[in-house]
Amino acid sequence: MIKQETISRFRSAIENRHQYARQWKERTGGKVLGYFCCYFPEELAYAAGVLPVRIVSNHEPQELSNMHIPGFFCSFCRDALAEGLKGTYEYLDGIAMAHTCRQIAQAYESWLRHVPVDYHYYLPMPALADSDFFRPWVVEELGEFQGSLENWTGNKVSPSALENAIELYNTGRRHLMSLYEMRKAETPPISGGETMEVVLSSMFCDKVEHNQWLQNVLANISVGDPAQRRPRTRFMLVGGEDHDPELPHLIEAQGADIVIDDMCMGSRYFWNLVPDGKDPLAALATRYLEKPSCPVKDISATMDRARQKHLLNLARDYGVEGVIMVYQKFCDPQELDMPFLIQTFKEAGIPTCVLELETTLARGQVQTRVQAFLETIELE
Amino acid sequence: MTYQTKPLECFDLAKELRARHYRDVMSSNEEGRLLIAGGNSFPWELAAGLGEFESLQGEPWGGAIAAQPDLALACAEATDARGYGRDVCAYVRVFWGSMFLDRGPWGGFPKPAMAVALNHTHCGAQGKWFQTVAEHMGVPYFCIDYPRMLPSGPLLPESKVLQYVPYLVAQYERFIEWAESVTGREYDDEKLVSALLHKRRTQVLWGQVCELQQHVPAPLHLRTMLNLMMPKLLWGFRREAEDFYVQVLDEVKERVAQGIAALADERARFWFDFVPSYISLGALKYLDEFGAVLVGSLYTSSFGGGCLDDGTWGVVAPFEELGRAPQNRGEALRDIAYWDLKRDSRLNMYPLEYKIRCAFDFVRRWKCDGVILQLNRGEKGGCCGALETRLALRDAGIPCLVCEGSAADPRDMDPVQVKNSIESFMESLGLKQGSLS
Ligand code: SF4
Ligand code: SF4
Repeated sequence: MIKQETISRFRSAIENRHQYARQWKERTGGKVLGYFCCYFPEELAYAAGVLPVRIVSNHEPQELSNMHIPGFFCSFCRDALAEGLKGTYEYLDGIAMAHTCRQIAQAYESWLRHVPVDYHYYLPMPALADSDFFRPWVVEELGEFQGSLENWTGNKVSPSALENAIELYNTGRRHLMSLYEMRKAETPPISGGETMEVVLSSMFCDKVEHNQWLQNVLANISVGDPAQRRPRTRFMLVGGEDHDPELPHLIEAQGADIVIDDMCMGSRYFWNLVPDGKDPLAALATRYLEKPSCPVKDISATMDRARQKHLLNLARDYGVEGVIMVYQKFCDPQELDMPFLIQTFKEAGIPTCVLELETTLARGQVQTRVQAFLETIELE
Repeated sequence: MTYQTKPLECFDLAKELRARHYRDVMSSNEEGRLLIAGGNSFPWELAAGLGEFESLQGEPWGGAIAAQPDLALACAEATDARGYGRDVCAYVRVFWGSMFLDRGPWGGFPKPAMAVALNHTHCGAQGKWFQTVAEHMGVPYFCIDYPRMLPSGPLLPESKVLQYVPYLVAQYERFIEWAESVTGREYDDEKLVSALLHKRRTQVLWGQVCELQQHVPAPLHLRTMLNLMMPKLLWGFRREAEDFYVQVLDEVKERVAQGIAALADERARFWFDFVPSYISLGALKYLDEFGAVLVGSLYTSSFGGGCLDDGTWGVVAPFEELGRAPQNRGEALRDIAYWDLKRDSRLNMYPLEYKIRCAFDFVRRWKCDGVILQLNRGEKGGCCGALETRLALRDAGIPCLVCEGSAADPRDMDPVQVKNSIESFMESLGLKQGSLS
């Protein structure tokens, strides 16, 4: 089991993320780069002495973005822009993103028009998951991005600096994978809500520091004795940019364990390592092309859907009994994918429940839906 | 002032060509012709090398469904029933619904032999759209990735364009190899080259028609232009299309020379930011009563030109101007890729800064009194940048009207509300009702 004081460090890193970034700047004299979406190759920025931090919304109702983004775009992109317009991210020296979804790209473009930044970079990233074919172009793009970072920061990214950054990020990924591995246990030692806090906080912190925290967690966590706690229904959480740990906590409070996820702010962020290789840029390209697909990218030149296979493997490996699919209201990439995935799970004999998310969490509705879902699973 | 007005002769021909296209589509299976389903943004001239084929294109099929509200509703509901959310593009939803129900504007839903897509990354729906069609129909599928680049400056440097030419060419080559294997046909490079030549000429001709709309009074309504565009949209790479646009251009030139107007009492001119959804066209007709004419749109112009390096809009350069037309497959593929990247025919999906610059250019050179923008819930790709464009225009003192709607889902469209907002907008500009047309 995990101690609350161990987990509270991650929780407070999320709550104090802006302060953390400001202090990091003061302490190191380095620049902070905000980025959208998990296809952004943080390793390159880190190797240039920059702290990459993920831009997220604040789960507070707002109207600031109404003038810039239509109300029927997802609340994540609208709310993230609002944070920029409000000045919450005034400490950012630059913003960047790798191409994913058109809606978040709109937030990025609006940000550039209205929030002053010294630096910005938009990295093209193919939508088709076909790494052999697209790798050369992605390598070229990564090389250009590296050059642009060097110009901006005045820091040359040496091959060893990049290799070190890759190793640092890979270490973090290995730690998170070890943590996830423990959730395969009959009574997982860490909850889904706590796990989200751990993963999410890693997007705001210097990995040197975060990796130490993770090491500490791994040294002090043990798979509990199943006799001490009755095993509970095992859920997988599948979705997009939800980053409110309140949601998994609330689901689990209904008497279930979230044992695995396929979420932007969860396993999709860290799942695969940058492979070993002589050319670090080629290795980076491979990692980002082969990472578990976001719905926007789950298209191949021909027919296969990579997500289907990946999710079924996760469900099998983690002994999943039910899938909760969450999506941001108005997120058409998720909406385009869900019926297919629901059918996939149905054929595998795994029931699903869909929750729609908005800026703030509709607690009552989530409770009712999850309770009903649990009852149907328990009846079966 | 009252202008002379008369119906456009080419209009009926455009309608006839469209009707013939759908007759061919509907009979393709029976008559053994190759039918390919795909998005309108797919470079269809590529398929011309396969020999005779018909295209079942998503957006025009969706538009045709939208023209029949009962059918549109039934199709949208059939897709809802399969669990797809209302935020998915309305064209996608009614197209899928038509496929699920085997119902369409001309009877059933014709079974394609294969499905293709250009996932143009500004709109992630394209790839999934035809992937789903292929899965449902049990036919092979091929998707091309079109890169999205946002330049660090306002415009894309030539070096970036050149970097991505091989990216697209390699995928086009892959498509050709794939198409040969699934159709068993041998790809004919001469047909590709000739299709490209026709396509470029139709683009140039159409671009010139768009430019003629700068004339006061405007020779055409935007709604007429949308109809005239159909052959270009459906098979702009055929000789017939080129012949048709020669006629259109001649007739429009004639109208300009004789001062023949689309609207007899043209008193105000407006630009349309993107594409008016089919189901909003009726409501937009209300503008006529105020002597207001829509002279063009980003969408219609994007089929004949794009943003130039100085941030203005310009007609696509004809091969004659470039000195040499492509002679073989390699040159043709490079040309398709280059122009798609350079002067993106998907102008509507341009980076925001391009879009805004072009909006100013349209207002200035097309002598517009304002801009109408539509937040089309059924077509998110097209709404990107609309509100930022409005802010920029408004800050420059250019009047703007924003209305809401849907490309094809009648449940998301409120014509009364559109009419009311037009009325207030017209009043705010001092335009009174009382049309002579
Ligand atoms: S993928 Fe969905 S949630 Fe994420 S930015 Fe795009 S629309 Fe929003
Ligand atoms: S949103 Fe626009 S570009 Fe995308 S599929 Fe729909 S009609 Fe096509």
